[in-house]
Amino acid sequence: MTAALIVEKLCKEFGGGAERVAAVCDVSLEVQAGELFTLLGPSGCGKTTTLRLIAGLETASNGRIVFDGQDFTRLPPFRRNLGMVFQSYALYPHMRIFENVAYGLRARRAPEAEIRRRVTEVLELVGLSGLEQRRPGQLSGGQQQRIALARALVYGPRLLLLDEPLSNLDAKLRVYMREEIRKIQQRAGITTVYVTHDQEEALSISDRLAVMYQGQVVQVGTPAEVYESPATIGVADFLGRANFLDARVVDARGDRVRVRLPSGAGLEVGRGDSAWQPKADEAATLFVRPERVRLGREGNGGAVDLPCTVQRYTFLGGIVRYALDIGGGRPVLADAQRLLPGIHVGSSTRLRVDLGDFRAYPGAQRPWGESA
Amino acid sequence: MAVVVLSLAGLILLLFLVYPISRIILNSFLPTDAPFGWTSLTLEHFARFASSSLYRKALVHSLTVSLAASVLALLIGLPMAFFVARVKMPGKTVLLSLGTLPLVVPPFLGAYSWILLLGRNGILTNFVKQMLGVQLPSIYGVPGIILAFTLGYFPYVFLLAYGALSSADPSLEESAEIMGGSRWRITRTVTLPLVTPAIAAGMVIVFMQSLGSFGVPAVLGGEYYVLTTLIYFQIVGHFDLNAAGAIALVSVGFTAVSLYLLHHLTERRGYVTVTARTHAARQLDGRGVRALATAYCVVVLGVALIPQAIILMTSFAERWGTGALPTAFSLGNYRRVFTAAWGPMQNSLFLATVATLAAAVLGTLMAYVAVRKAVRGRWVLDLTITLPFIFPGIAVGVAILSGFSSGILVLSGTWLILAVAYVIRRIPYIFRSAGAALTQIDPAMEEASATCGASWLRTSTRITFPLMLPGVVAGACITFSTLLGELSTTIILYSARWKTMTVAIYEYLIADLLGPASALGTLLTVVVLASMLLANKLLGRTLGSLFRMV
Repeated sequence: MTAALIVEKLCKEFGGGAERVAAVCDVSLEVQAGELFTLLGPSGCGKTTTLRLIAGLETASNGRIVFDGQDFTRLPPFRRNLGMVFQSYALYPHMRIFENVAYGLRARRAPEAEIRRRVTEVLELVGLSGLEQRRPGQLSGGQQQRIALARALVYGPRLLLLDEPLSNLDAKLRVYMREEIRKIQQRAGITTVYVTHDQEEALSISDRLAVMYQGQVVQVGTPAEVYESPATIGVADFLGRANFLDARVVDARGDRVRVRLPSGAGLEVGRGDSAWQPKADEAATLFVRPERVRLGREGNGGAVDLPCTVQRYTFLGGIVRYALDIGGGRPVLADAQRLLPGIHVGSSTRLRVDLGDFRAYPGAQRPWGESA
Repeated sequence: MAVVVLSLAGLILLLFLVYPISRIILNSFLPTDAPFGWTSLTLEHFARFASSSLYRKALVHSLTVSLAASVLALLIGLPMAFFVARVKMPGKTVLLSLGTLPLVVPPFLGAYSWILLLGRNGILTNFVKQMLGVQLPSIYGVPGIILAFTLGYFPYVFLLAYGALSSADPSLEESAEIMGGSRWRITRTVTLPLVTPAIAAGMVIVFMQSLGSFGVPAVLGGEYYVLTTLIYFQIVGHFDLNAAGAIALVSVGFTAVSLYLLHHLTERRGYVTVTARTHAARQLDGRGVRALATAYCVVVLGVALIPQAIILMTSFAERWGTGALPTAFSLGNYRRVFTAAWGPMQNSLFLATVATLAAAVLGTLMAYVAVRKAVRGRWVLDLTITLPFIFPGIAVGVAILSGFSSGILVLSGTWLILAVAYVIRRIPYIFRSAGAALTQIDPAMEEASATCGASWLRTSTRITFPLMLPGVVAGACITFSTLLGELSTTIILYSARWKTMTVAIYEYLIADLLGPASALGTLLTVVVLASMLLANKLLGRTLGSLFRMV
């Protein structure tokens, strides 16, 4: 596969003089043809700015954007032949649905018959045939969302940009619409860059994703890679529930590292941060997802096995989240699929984690919410 | 493109706004009829406020009537705003529309009807004398002017306070109630402080309008001079532009101070602008309070609309007997004005239309550049364009006359000088309303157009300007209406060929020709109302909300 969209060392600074702030700094990305690529990160991480730079709505302070071999960097947005869906949908209240959708075709001076045909086709694609004469205000949020998508697709752009397209919908509709968007994107086979701050959305919809923080790309990978092997504690924490255990480095062996827990137990685990060169006796942090922590007395081999006490548990419907005291430090969270018989608050039990589910990070790293 | 618009705007503002205002400022420091020279600069015109009792009295009178009118407008307008906003009453939209009516009708028209009612030979004066044997105090001078100002301008306080009261978040009051505050305590500590900025703004507008009004004191003042009539006297009596400029500057000074105080008040207290309301405020619906509220509103509006009723009646009056009311009605006055004042009618429509269109186009373009384009130094544009706002109409007239009766561009005696003055005076309104409309348009609308492949030109003509249109049309309708009723600027700048309807009415009134004056006034009111209703229809808003942005 070849990269359709190449972003090279992109920088965007806002303001001037002493008030200058870099919203995006040194961002480099490659998006494959036909791929749905997501920019994920907390608010203010620069994901939307990156998307707007790709769209041409902002001008880069530095760096290059190349799409299909064409240099986009200085091209105005209307010459880039792309489609974009905005968070607010930006449907035109003074136009009917037909004219809203036809807008890009009219801008391209398409013949009337073709406009009619294409609008009909794209409305069929998004499943909203028959609404041509309505006004945007008469449509539900989900319908408006699909019209915005139709408007961005109707003129056959080669690149589709979506800026938090689902954030104005309620939770159920959001799940439904993200599947719809994925289906429509697959059918149209269009290279897509998707921006969201919702990690579940990003994991479920993307072929690959880039996690951004403070204007920089922290990690790029498939949803599974990023979720299972986060590059930093920040990514680990942002992408879902995470347990962090304090530990000390014993020694490093290739891409694995041996650590010792405060209880004295020693274990050999994978290194999460590939740039990290662990030194003996250095502080380290172990990461494991709560759903990989098993509770109960019967054990099986190859795993860490620790005694613990149940501090409290929270019933969450699909799962039950137990908070476990392992004798000092932060409690360890364990997700069980149902309430475990015989395990109550105050019960002594054991927790087990497969060694492969641990990742080790330098001890100085902190989750994003806790950093300065 | 932005640069072109900006430089064009800059040129127009420089020539027709900055230049005349600089001239009037400079002139007011020059001796009468003296050419410019650094050595001849003098304070003699300003010194007259100390030396001449005419000047001193005019200043004191102006401040007295304007302050009194603002306070009385508060006393009348605030309770009414509270009743309409918070008491369950039928026909609130009607009340709001009728409450706007006094603003629509040129106030000097109404002023004369008070003479008809309360003058030396007025209907009420005679009635009271016959029934009670009491001679009412003279309507001329202070009482009449204050009466006309108060009833003509109190809707500003009413509408602004109503807006604030009806859009303030009710949960603020509800939380105070839950914490145990009594109704009076809540009103005093929560409700009133929340609407204080709106009330203060309303009072300042009343003060500015009163200070700048020429027609009312000219009709009701008699020998009693205020600043505006003194300016007129200097121009028409002595053609002393320099002295008139100095008086105008003093008047501008008071306006500026009042605006500064308003700004200071709202800034210092750190008021949060009203947020989106979650639910409607609860309405009082006790029988007593409803009766009180309804009675109050009916009486206030009844009294405020008496002038309109009198004008309407007088316009149809053919003969007045010895009694209070006319004895015969006909269309004679209308026939008369259609022949005698046909020219002024055409002039008014032509001037108001041309000036409105020019102001709409220029104001919209400037608002677009100021809001959407990150051009450096746009605050200069913002400040300059709102400058005429603090200039009373008569001061704008004097400034334009100073600027264009001699020197680089001579326009006096032509229709252009009136059109230019009208545009300059009203451009801030269009600028504000177009700017407000623009800031409410999600920038994503324009961005979506660009990503769809539309050029800048296509985006602005298909998306931006159509979306701004309602705001611009609203501003334009108000501009058109107020220009039709404009007298303060016109009285300084009109010529024999370019006499307007308002000048014609003024001349009829001075000549005591009430019938034709009323007929012309009624026609004016009808056109103005039609234009406001059109704006109303186009925007789907109430008449009152159109005025709230003023």
